Amino acid sequence: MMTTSSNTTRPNLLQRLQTIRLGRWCVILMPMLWLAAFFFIPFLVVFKISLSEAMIAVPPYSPLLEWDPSNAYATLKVTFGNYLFLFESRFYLDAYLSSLRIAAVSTFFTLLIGFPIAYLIARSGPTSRTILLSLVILPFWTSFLLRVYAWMSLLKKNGLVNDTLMSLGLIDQPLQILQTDVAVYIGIVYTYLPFMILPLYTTLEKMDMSLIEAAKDLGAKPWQSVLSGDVASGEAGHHCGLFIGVYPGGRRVCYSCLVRRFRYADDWSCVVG
Amino acid sequence: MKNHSLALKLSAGFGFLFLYAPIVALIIYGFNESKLVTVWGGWSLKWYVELFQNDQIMDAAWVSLKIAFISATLASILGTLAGFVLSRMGKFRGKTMMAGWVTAPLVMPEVITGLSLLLLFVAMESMFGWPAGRGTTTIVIAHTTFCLAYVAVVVQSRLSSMDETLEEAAMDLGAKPVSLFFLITLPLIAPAILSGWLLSFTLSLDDLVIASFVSGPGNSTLPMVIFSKVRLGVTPEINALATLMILVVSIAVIAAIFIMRRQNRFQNP
Repeated sequence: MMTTSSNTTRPNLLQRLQTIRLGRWCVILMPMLWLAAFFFIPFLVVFKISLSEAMIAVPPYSPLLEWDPSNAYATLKVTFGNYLFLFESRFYLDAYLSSLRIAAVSTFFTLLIGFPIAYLIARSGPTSRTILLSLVILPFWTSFLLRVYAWMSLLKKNGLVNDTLMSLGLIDQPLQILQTDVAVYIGIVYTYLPFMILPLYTTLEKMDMSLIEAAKDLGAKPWQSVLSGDVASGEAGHHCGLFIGVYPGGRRVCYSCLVRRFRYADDWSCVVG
Repeated sequence: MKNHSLALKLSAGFGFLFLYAPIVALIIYGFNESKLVTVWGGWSLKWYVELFQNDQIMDAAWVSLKIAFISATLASILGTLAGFVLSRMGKFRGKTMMAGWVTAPLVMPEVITGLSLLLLFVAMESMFGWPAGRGTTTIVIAHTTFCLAYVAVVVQSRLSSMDETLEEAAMDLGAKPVSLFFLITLPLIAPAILSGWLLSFTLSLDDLVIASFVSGPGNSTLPMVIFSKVRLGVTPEINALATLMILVVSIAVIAAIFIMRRQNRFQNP
């Protein structure tokens, strides 16, 4: 790993660039130092605190290295209690499980709503494709907070959804939607729909249409061809979409406090878990 | 192939309805005369007037725009360098580590990014006395760090899809690395940098969690103010603000598409 200019086979840009090493290292070090200072070191700080014990003091945790002036040596005090607590406490376990459940359910619905849109876009002509795609991208560029806020006024007790359902005679009295899991699902599905549609669309667009034609020729019903042919070959996109869908879903559950009050106690030491 | 089945059209139509119904409702209620968002009291621009007279929102908007502009610019510079280093500099000591550091902020939960930066800032302040207190500077640093990752990824993918022949030709013709970068590579990756900048600007403008961790008193960003207002209930002022933001974004997106189409036509006539 010292100098590796000799083991590349093709003389390329890099070898020629290596002639001025100082400049090269300046270029490399600039982003690297920034990331080290503001990404890696903070992470180490959190890690360090996670190994120390909580104390009522300033700072509110015990030091890792304890310097004893009389003996002139330092003792390393490490505790894994915080990590054990993470697995023992029902509170945290419940929070994980509910995060996972919310992520799974909302991913399913995101896929359910997103797939037809992605499919339609991938199968339309160039002009309508551009229009439909920008319709999908537009909400993605607007503030996430305001998009969730928009749902709040729709889902309120006397909001549009309840009013419509009442006037249609489907329900007698307004449903409590806000501050329930349903609101959380709607909020997450809504926020992450573009993240599901775009990767799906990219995969579906590249997909070979002849597969579907063949399926149709062989007498498959449209939904059958979609299920077997599309879903199978769209798999990579699914995974990608699912990954993007699940991941933020799990991580952004804290945002759902907008639509449902979500309480979590702050336990600094447990954050690394 | 253009004849989509009715079921597909219906389900995609439902999807678009789901996407746009809240936005349309949001815009319409912004023009509502009545204070109660759900009771229609006739058309009015009253909430727009109140919005512009609300110093708290206006100050926060200004703080947010400033932070977004500075951190998007910083992130574009550092992110372009990072992307360039990772895809054009070959191997060097610590490359794997750097690649990890560049992509990790993308998957790092915001809560952890925010908390770890807060702890760092607190520790730095007690050790070096800088940054003195938390405010615009700390938010800019935090936003630059996570936006940098997005720019680096965009630039890196653009560079790896682009072959090196143009750069090599310039080298053969005797261009020095610095002029090579500014005359050849930079113009070629300019669209990627621009989209990275726009992405960073939006991400920074949109961020609530990280900013909440690293901001200090009197330096609330727009999302923080919106969040605190919305928690107390729905107010039509926020609808007016949302409408304006959606309008600006729509114009920007439509302009971007228009420019891209023209460029495409120019490139492949």
